[in-house]
Amino acid sequence: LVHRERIAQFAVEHRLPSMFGWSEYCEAGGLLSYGANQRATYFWLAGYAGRILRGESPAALPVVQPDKFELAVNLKTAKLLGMNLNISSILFRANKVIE
Amino acid sequence: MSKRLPPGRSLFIKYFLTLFFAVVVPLILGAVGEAWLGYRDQWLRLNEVLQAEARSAAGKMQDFTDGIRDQLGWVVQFPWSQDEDQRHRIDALRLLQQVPAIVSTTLVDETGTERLFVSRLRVNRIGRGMDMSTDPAIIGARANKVSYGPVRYQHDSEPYMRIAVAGTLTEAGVAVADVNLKLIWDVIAAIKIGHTGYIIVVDETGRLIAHPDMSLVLRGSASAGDFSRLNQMLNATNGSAVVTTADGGQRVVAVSVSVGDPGWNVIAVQPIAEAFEPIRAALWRSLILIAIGTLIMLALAYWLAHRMSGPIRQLEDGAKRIGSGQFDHRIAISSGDELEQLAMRFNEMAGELATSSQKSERINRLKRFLAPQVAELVEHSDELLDGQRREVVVIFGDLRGFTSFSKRAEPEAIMAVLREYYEVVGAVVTRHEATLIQFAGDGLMVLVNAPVECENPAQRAVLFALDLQVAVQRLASSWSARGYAMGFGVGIAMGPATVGTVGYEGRLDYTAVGNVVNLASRLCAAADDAQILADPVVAERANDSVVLVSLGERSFKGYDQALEVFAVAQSEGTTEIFGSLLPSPKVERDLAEAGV
Repeated sequence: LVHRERIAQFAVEHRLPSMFGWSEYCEAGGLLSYGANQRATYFWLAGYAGRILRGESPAALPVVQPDKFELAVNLKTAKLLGMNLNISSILFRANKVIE
Repeated sequence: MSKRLPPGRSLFIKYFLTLFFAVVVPLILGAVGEAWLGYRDQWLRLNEVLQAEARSAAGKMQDFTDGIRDQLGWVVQFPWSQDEDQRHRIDALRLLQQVPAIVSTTLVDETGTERLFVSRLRVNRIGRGMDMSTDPAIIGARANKVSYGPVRYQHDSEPYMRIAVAGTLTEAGVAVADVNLKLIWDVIAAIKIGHTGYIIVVDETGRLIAHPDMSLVLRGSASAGDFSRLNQMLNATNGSAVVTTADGGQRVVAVSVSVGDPGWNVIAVQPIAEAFEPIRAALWRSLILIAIGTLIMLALAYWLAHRMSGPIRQLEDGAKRIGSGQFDHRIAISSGDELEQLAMRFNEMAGELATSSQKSERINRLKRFLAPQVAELVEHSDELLDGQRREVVVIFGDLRGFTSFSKRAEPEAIMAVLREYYEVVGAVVTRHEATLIQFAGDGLMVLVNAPVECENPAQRAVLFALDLQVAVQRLASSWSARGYAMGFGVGIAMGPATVGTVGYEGRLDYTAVGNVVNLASRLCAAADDAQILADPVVAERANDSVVLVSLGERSFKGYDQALEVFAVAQSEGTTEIFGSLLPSPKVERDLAEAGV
């Protein structure tokens, strides 16, 4: 995640379509990403940390599975790669489009 | 003997308790009644509020499932034909885009074969061709257009439910959506009842579907017991509120409303502490009011009881002092009410008592010259002793030969003789209820018919004189045995005289003034030893019971005309004493001396 921009640049330079699990990569120049919203996960994380600090047993806290998945598309990168995504069904399924 | 409170204290306590309870008991009853009514109203209101909240939440649940149902309806509009797979795929993808709660969708054609599977988490499949015609969701949807599957918990944690919708055309097949019910949390968490009240959703078995604390849902069957018990309890009450213990041991009020289609129960929960906050505040208010009222009443009752019992104690003290003879004691109460009037009456009574005691003192003085019976009579009519003119009988008596005896005899002997004489005379006077006016040496003066009137005074006077003569003659014979020669003569006269008290402060005498007194004195002087002389008035009046013998007319000093004089004849028992009724030479001589 720290080197996401370098990874994205590398992919573009070598004309490779890139796909990631987190939308942050896509914002940094990756072509596509599909996965749970990391920010939302961190909100849950903060809530759990608070509950443990308040004295709840970590064993009693259930595992929460993500329920919000997002597809991010970076059109700029697509253009650089010379792709026309308008003809695919990707765009209408995208939750986040970066132009 | 049991210990007794002093009378004043017990009255104080009685007044105090009565006044105290008279106010405090209604106060407490009022407060209790108000609290009870308040509690009932609050309970009804709470019931309504919770029901409304639960119903609104149930409506939202319904909207949630209806929304999914309607969206599913979109993907089963077109019939399946060979080239329609792509179109259905886009519809299914759009559906997932549109409805975040749907995790995956399976589209089944009219034969019950799976044509398409689209998922957020797994790889999409097209045309796998699996036979799903025996799937209960498909059967249910074909029968009722819509079917809601049971809630299942993935990994005993996340609640999921399958919703299947059949198209209007049989050829359109059935869409089955896997719905993540965790998303209901967004709806539930937004609902707040008061500050701490909340909504939970359970399925028909009582397992938690949604709770503001999501982790309770995700904990799966670990926390299922509590909610299943709550659900059963609420189902039994048929929609009215119950008080129970919720998760975490908190006392809560809960109401349940069922959501029609999926068959869930929405439960509105409010902690009892918050639910009854208003009534608790009201209770505290009334408690404080009761406490303040009680304190005020304590002070007031103490003051009033003191005010009431204080004067009564003063009265008691006053009555005791007056009773012990302090007639000049006055009770000073200025309370301005009946007690003050009572004190005034007491003071008046003390005054009356003082007067009455003065009166009885005077009566004691009167008894010296009145018979005791007469004294009692006089006691009740003061005016008897006032000066007035009336018909009286005057009796004079004196000892014959006393002067010469007193010259010879020793003083002790004289006093002894006089004492005996007075004793005898006194006894006779008392017996006849006559009025002894005076003793003067050997002489005595007695009144009949004054100050107390009596019937036939003349006759009484004559009988008295006879009795007196007999008694004194008996005494005289004892004296003659001792060598003292003395006799006793009596004179009686009747006529009008002025009677009344004369004298000065400290020495008062009752006496009669008038001609008749002089006449009686003259007759007495004229009488021989053992003789009783009476005037014509007495003779006439006493004629029927006593024999009177006329001694002829006599003239007396101070009287212009001569007066017929009568001697009282002796009765049977007195023969030897009254030896002679005829005037003796001595009488003649005495009369000559006394007369003109």
